[in-house]
Amino acid sequence: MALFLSQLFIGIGNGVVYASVALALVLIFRTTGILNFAQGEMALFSTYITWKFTDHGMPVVLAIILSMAISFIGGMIIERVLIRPVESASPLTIVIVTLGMFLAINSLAQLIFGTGEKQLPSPFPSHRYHVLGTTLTAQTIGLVAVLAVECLVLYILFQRTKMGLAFRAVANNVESSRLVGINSGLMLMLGWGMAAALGALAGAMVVPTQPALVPSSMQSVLVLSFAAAALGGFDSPLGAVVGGLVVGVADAMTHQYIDGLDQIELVVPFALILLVLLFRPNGLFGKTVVERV
Amino acid sequence: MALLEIEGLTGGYGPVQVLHELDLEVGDGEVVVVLGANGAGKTTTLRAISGMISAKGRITLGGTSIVGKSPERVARLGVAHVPQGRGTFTDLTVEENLRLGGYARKGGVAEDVQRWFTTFPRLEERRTQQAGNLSGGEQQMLAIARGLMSRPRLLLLDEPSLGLAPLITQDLFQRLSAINEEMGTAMLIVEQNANLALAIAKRAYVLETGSIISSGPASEVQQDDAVRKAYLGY
Amino acid sequence: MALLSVEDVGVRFGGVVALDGLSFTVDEGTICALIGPNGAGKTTLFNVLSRLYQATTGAVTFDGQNLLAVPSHRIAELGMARTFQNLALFPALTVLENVMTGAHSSGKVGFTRAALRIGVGSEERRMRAQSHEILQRLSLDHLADRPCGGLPYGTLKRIEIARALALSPRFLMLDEPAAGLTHSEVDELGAAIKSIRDDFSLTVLLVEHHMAMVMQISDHVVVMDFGRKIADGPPEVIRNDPAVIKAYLGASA
Repeated sequence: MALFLSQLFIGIGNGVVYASVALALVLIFRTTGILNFAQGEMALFSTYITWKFTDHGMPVVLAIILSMAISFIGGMIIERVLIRPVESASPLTIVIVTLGMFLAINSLAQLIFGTGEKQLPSPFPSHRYHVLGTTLTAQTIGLVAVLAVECLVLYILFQRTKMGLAFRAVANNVESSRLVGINSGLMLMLGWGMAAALGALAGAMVVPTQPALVPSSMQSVLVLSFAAAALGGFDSPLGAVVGGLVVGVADAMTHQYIDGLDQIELVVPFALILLVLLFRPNGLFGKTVVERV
Repeated sequence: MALLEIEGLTGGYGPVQVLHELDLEVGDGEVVVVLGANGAGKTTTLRAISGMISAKGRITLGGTSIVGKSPERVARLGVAHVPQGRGTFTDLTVEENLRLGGYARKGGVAEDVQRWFTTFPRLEERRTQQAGNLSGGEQQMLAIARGLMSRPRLLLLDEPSLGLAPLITQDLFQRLSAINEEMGTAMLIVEQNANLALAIAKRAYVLETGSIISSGPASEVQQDDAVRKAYLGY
Repeated sequence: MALLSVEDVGVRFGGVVALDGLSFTVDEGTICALIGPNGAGKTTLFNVLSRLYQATTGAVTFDGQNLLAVPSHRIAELGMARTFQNLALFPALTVLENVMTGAHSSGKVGFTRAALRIGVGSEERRMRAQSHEILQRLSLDHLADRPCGGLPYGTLKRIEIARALALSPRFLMLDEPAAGLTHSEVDELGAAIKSIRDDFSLTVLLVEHHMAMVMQISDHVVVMDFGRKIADGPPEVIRNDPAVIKAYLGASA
């Protein structure tokens, strides 16, 4: 029981991060229909920025906030400069562009920050609590709280503000949104900006749980987050959160309880992606297109 | 000076030129109908006005040139375009669709939402439903109400009766006529249901292969033999 | 003799009753029009007949067979073809290619022979010739090599009819073929549907709001409202039926 609980807590802690990155993926997919393969590397770059600030002695929370702001602007620039020109190109072209960004951003990070291991401090205290015979870390509680706040902020933004309404309008029908006077280009830039900022936050959450910040820090996170988004449905924010938690817990549990799997990385997310694509291509919460006739 | 003035308008899709030196105008508060065969360039004309396609020539709205302006700029200048096939935001609720109609306008929209709910009670009954679940007639009402939410100077309507049953179409044109009288909104209507459209219009144009071939007061156009044969069916 | 017979068909979506005990028959070689207000259930019935929707109750017989036991991919083999209200064409393909996608379903060359390219050349020539002929019948041949994307709505509706005809059907279902056409174009289309019916010995079921066309070409009209049949008979009777005028036609009829 104690072992099960401790794996559950680890799973939830990881799952929260996958959920954050999956939320960013969903945000971009909903507004532009693009699967952003560079999401993980964008988050990596942001995390290096966060690290740079802390390295200069800035408190970690302030560093994260600053890095999120910079990433927001960076995301907007990426949309305007790299994505806009291929906006109406074939899906394959766009996939290639985001894969190119994946490689380019990773290389750029190595070039600027070097390949050495960096230590990023955790924004959470190191308290441990004993619950039902196992330990629950402040880290896990903090991660869940951050995700909860993130979801709440996004919910209010999208459902309760005029900008959120415009955003959803663009996601639903670009042409009609322009006809009612919405600057759809600006909305798409904001979408990428927000996704980049979410990535910065997720990076700062996950890296302190890893041995060190290295150029490959976000790669397995991206795969697990893709699994989370595929599981929940690429167009569903709720699906991203649930998917992230399921993937995190499933990953932790299978490695604990199924012998041999602990040697193979990423088997769970790939198996999940495969199963979802086979049996429920729209994901658990994804929208099956039903048209009134 | 007319509200909308178009002179020598040329445009199309990529290499295909659809409009050839088209001239047209709509006065303040005037209802104008454009008739024409399939492919004559009616939809293209509306799309050129609202900035959805690039066009050459002169288009002015209240004296301001709108050629080459983006659709969102044109919308903010007071043109509401209700596209063919309605273009409602199918994933959003009826009320959200209406609020979006007033997006570009300064000031609150709640009052206008209520006003159009009063005019179209069916929409109020369905205010929290997704627009995609409405029937064809309801979607058309929603698209028109959304257009009017911006308090436009000019309403562009592209085949509002498409796919609507006769009774609903008659009702729709009566409402359009009432809205025009009450609010003085100018309307440029492309419509195959020419009898009903001409009945509420002041003037009409006949479009053929991208140019205007005849125009005049709606009642005169209605009497024209060629027009009757081609567009009125008697 | 009735080619299609619909008996007491009901369809429910959750709590919504889309069709409610609908019965009518379509005789072989006739043109039957289905009219009624938006949301009356006309397209729902089309979707039941092409097996996209499951009927909750009732029976449908086509040419003596229980249609409701036939899977949707076998509908074309029975000789049924349809067009869609919201066009279902491939915008990047040319008009001719779109029509030929219809002909492919009725192609005689099986998968193995096609894979080995045995007899494909002559088969493709045959389909190409047939598709051209159909385009000509619908006055679309001058557009054969144009991509479908960007063509006007009314033209696209006719291309869909051409594609349905390329299946060489016995029974053709048309969903609002006259939408977006001018009166004279509607007249032409009506005449084309009639002559196609005669030459290909077709039976036609038509959903249409354009009353002039319905009255002109149909042998038999079924009127629906709220998922039920409210009238059924020859066009001249339907046009004067007070219930139909009240629910559907209004003053202009």
